[in-house]
Amino acid sequence: MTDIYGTHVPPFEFSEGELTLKSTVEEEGINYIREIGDKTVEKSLFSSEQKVTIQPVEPLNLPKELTSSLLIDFENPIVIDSGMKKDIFATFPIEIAVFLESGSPEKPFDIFTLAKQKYTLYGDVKTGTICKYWATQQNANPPEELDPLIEGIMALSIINRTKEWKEVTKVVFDAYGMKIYYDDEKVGMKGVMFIKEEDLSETGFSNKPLVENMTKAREIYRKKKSAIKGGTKFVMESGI
Amino acid sequence: MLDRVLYGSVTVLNLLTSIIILFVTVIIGKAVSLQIRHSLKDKVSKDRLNTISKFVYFLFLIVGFLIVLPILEFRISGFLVAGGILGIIIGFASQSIVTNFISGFFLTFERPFKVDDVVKLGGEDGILGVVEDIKIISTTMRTFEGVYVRVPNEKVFTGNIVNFLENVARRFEYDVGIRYKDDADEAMKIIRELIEEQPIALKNPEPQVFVESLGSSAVELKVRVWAPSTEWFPLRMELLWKIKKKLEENGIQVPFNQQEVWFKNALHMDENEIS
Repeated sequence: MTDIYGTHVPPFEFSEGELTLKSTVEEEGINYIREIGDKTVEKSLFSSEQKVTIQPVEPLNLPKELTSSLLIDFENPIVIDSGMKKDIFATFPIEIAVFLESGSPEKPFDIFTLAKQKYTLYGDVKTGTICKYWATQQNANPPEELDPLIEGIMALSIINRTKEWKEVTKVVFDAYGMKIYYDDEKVGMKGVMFIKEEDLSETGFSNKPLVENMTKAREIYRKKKSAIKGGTKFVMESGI
Repeated sequence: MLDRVLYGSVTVLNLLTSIIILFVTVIIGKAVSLQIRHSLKDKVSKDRLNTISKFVYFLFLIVGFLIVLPILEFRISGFLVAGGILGIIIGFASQSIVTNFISGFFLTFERPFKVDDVVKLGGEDGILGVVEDIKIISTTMRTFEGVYVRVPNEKVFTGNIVNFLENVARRFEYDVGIRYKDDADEAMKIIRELIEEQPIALKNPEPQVFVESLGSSAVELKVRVWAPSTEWFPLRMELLWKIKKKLEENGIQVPFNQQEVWFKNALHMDENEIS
């Protein structure tokens, strides 16, 4: 449960674990302070509109915008029989963006994360893809007691369209296409993986929330996404 | 005025017509090349797009000259016939230009690097920097000292080319020596944990930490880390000092060189002699 997500009118102060977000009203604008542990970021904002929205976004911005791909590594492999569809639940990392409700509402003025950050290489050194890395357990039911400020729930449908059983150890997404939904208790999204041939799978996202009444998060990569021809599906050619 | 003969039967009108034709072909060439840039910008890489648009532009210029030359009574067949000796002279004079041009042509197709790649041209003592432009005659670079360098394409094509960004990831390594009395397993565990904490150090390919050799003064550990090609150097600069500090925090030290000296005859020294 968190009060942080949503639109807030300064002054406000939220404190959860080692994270503190504060905003005070100054003479001509607002002052914003974010503290994580002993690190503090402070910004002065001058705008006619004094509303701030805090929400989860695609985990591609920190520590540096290096890739559009997200690799989710399953701690235990999933074996799925020929022609079968299996729905599982996993987790994914979250970055949190803070938007000022005016001017360019798709451009956050602050992004931070409490999730572990790591990159990996999918494929070989010559033709592979650098991906944001996240290790997760897979469950038959939605994982409980997740911190919605750190990780979200991913409902993943795996469809094996081949004529033999397959072992899935990881899934790679083009995270520009992420459709994140959130409420006070959880962050979630739906993904799909089609296993098509030997060493060839296709992944993508569904535009539906995990459960009813969740709020859709802003997509900060909408412009880049619209420039990509052929959508934001990822074709896994280097193993699953 | 327009009928005034300049030479042969070429009039002022012919000259003006030629200038207008050249001007129009330049304008059309620029427009077509801009249109190509605009329509292909999402489909073709920036440097290839540059080459295509330049090629189209020069094609229009050549067509313009081919139209204009007969109007000005320059006969290409005449050039060919009379070009014997002149051709040889021009050939010698333009040898390097033609070589550079042909090298540039092959570089465009072979594509050993592209604009914004970090490359080293010309072997061990070659030029290291960022490729700024690949032109028809030369390649321009910006070294890490911020110096502009123009390299003729012939030298680029015939020399060694090391492209540091051709592959998406690369490896770097350190040698870390620890004292013989320190626990090497513990040291390797600490280094592995430290690498795991670095976001830029790739999870896969896995980093390697192992005992490389038993040196004269230290147990030598080898540390190998993979990182995205664009980010490896800042990580390499940062990580070694972190390893040193972390090992020292855990009581593991990098030793000084040591040498044991054995005397043939035992040294007898009076304590009083020591001041």
